[in-house]
Amino acid sequence: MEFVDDILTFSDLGEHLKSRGCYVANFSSLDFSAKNGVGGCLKTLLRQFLMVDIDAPEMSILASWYTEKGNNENPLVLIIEDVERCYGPVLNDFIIMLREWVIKIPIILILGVATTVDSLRSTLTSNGFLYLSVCEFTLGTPAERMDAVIEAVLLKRCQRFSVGKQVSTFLRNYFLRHDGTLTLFLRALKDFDDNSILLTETFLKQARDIPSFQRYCQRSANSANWANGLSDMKRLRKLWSSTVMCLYEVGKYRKTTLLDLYCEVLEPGPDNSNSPDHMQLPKHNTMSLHNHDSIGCPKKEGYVGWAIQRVRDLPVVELCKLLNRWEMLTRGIKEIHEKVKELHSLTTFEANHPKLDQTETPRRQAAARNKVNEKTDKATVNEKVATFLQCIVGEYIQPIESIPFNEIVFFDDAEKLQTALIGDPRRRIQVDLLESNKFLKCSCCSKNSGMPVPSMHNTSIMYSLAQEHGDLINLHEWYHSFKSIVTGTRVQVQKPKKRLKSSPSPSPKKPKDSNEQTKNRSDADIQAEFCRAVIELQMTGLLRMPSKRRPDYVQRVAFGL
Amino acid sequence: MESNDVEDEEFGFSRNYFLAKELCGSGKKSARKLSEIGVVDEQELRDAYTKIESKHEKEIGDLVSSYRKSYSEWAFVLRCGFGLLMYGFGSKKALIEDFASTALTDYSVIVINGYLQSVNLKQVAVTLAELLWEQLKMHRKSTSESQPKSQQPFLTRSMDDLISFLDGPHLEDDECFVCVLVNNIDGPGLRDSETQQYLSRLAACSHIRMVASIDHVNAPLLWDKKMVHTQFNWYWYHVPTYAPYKVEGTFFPLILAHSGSAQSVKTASIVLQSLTPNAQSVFKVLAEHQIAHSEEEGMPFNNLYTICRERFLVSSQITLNAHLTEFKDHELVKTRRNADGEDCLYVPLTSEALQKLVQEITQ
Repeated sequence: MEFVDDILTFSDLGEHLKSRGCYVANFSSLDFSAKNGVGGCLKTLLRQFLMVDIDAPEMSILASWYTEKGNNENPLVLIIEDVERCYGPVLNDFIIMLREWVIKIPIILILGVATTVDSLRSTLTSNGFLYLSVCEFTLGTPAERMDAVIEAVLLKRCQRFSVGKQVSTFLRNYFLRHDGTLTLFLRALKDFDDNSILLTETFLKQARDIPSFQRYCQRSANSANWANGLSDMKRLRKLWSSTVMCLYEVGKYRKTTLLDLYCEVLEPGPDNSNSPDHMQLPKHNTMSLHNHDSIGCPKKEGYVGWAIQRVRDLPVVELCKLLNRWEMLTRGIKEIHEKVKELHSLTTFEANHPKLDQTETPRRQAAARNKVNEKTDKATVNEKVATFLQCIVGEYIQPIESIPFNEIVFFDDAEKLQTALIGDPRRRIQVDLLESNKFLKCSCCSKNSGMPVPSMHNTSIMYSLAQEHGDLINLHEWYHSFKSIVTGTRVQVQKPKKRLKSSPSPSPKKPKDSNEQTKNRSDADIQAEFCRAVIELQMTGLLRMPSKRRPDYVQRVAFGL
Repeated sequence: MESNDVEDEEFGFSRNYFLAKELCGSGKKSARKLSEIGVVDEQELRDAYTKIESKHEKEIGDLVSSYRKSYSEWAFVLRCGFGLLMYGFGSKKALIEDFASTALTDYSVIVINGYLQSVNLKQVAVTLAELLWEQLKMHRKSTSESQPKSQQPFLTRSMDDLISFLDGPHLEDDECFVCVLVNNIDGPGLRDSETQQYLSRLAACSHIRMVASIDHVNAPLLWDKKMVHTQFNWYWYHVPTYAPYKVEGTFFPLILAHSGSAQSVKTASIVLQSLTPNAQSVFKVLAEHQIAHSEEEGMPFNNLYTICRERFLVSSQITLNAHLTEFKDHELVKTRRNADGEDCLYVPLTSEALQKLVQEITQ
């Protein structure tokens, strides 16, 4: 199990068991810390069952409470979400203690294990482990759940909102490469939902300005009104999603995940929206499609083509099953459902007849003829189904952008999503400092790109200067380069790259040179500004203070954005 | 993307940590002491520190007020159950508090200042519970529900109890909540993992909404996946303000004031003045010897004892040892071996600082 994804699973399980009359207590690894000890665990246990805080927790209290309840049929259930993170010795002692009372208090432990059951063996001592009689249950993998979520939220409820190619690709990449958990995905979905509510609120007021609505009005000149537009959108979205589900059913033959398919189908462009392309595709690319098949990585252009080819190649029985599932999926959508039904009856007929023939005439010749017959029949039926699939894909898989009112439900701002869900403080804060003029939009600092100028924010100057140093910054040199900049005496021609080879910082100006300028800014002011900039950099975590060993140096922490 | 490429070129050399390491090697040759800067008097520095004029005041003002138009969006996101996390350079205290006082007027708001040295989270939870209790009471009155039975005062309850009260299903609608503003949730007062655990549990409560700010680039390391995704449920906003960290920086030492010799002379003289005149005189003997023979490792114990006896400062080695222990405790005196293998006593200060110190205690 993946413990972040399964927090809800455990709390639901707890609720379910409670409704069946069990006594349930939920624990997390925090309860089994070295600091709390077994006493702490027992305290939590008593708190959850008896609803009171007890200063001197003892098992006998629990035992007497349990016998008082009088209902000894139902065991106590303890749910521990993340066993790996518990402190082993405490958990071990706790289990041994429970074991001692097991005759009076029957207890079932439900443990969430993220790795393998063997990990229990390493957390517990052999003694403690022996007391457990272990049963294993495996929860669904994140990929399976992901498909379920997409089906339930993005396809079945698609009238509410939908996402674009960029967003779905971003989420897919994040799911596959970074996180492996659904939690972020679900949060993102919640985010769209919220966004779409926001958008709906604002758009209702200015609906007439929505470009797609205007386009819609132009196309259907007769009384294009609100309700029509919206119901049209709803209808088209429904058709779209059921077509995707049909494609997914075909995709199951090579274990395509719904997530991949979803991302692929969203691709805007002529490939998925124009049927003529698909007509040609399967014929020319049969070989390469087979290659894709063996590798198992669906190429975008290939998927629909592959699906159609696959339908052509399916044995009748499988085709029958497929159509059966399609029929279930398209229930309630009359445009597709009728045709699917028709095709289904056709295939069931085909599927049943050859069988009868075979049993009745077992002779070789007849069988051979039958085979030929079957082949041609199969070919025609398969061709029909394939053509049908091609048709619905061509007709209903249109880019969302072309549907009226798509602005209300459609969301494709991957960047906004990314900044909202995964902040990037490490990079962003450094950029804030290095490019302060972009945010402040002042006229004075932008003149000199890249080089610090006196009018810049002090901390910005300091951080830009720090870029020229190694991992240790000599405070003396740093101060003097800072001073020469704020007093305007620094030679501006110097390029940072040149300084790389020479001394890391310009040699401090002799007071003689800068006497005139420093007059109006006293040393105390500059030193105070220096101090503050150092403090601010320290707060952002970009600097570490001088150690006792190296009192004249501060340490740089971040290298590069 | 283009601007990124430009950055790559400009800061490309700083990207490489190993290059930075090499640079440090060349930096060491030209090593200069911090004391060579010519630091002004500490008091003067502190005065100047309080009076620093900020640059770009107008632009900063414009930037901060440009965030005002997002307030309604922030409040909306907050109502949806997300926690707001503000980051970006500059103090965000004023911004968050302005947001709370404009857009969150319908809710009770409490502020936790994480930049303080210590924060009593139990007290925070108690206050939150009391606020929520009041709010619920108001709500019940307006809907004329029966008053619940009186209960144990919050102050005596345990943290777990308080959290389960705040998380409890008191009302059907979610609109009854208390907002917690945390300035610097990564600040020194809140940085330990236990506090962060409590904060995340608080943030996950159904009647609590959290708005927090971070300043440290590595702040997200405080949280694990569970805390970030399911408890805090952060919605990140990048809001650089460039406003000075006035209050937040109060507890940080000034780098030029702290490490200068002025500080150590001052503290040493304070310590010495609290000792007996005899002890002071013993210290003076040692100091004068060190000033006279600054190139030596220090003063051997026996020499010090002889001189002190001659001047009637100590009567026995035991009394001298007592004085020395006192000095060592305050780090006024340390020992090291000289070339002959003798243990020598010395004062860990520069000659100038020592002279200044001797002057101060003779006055």
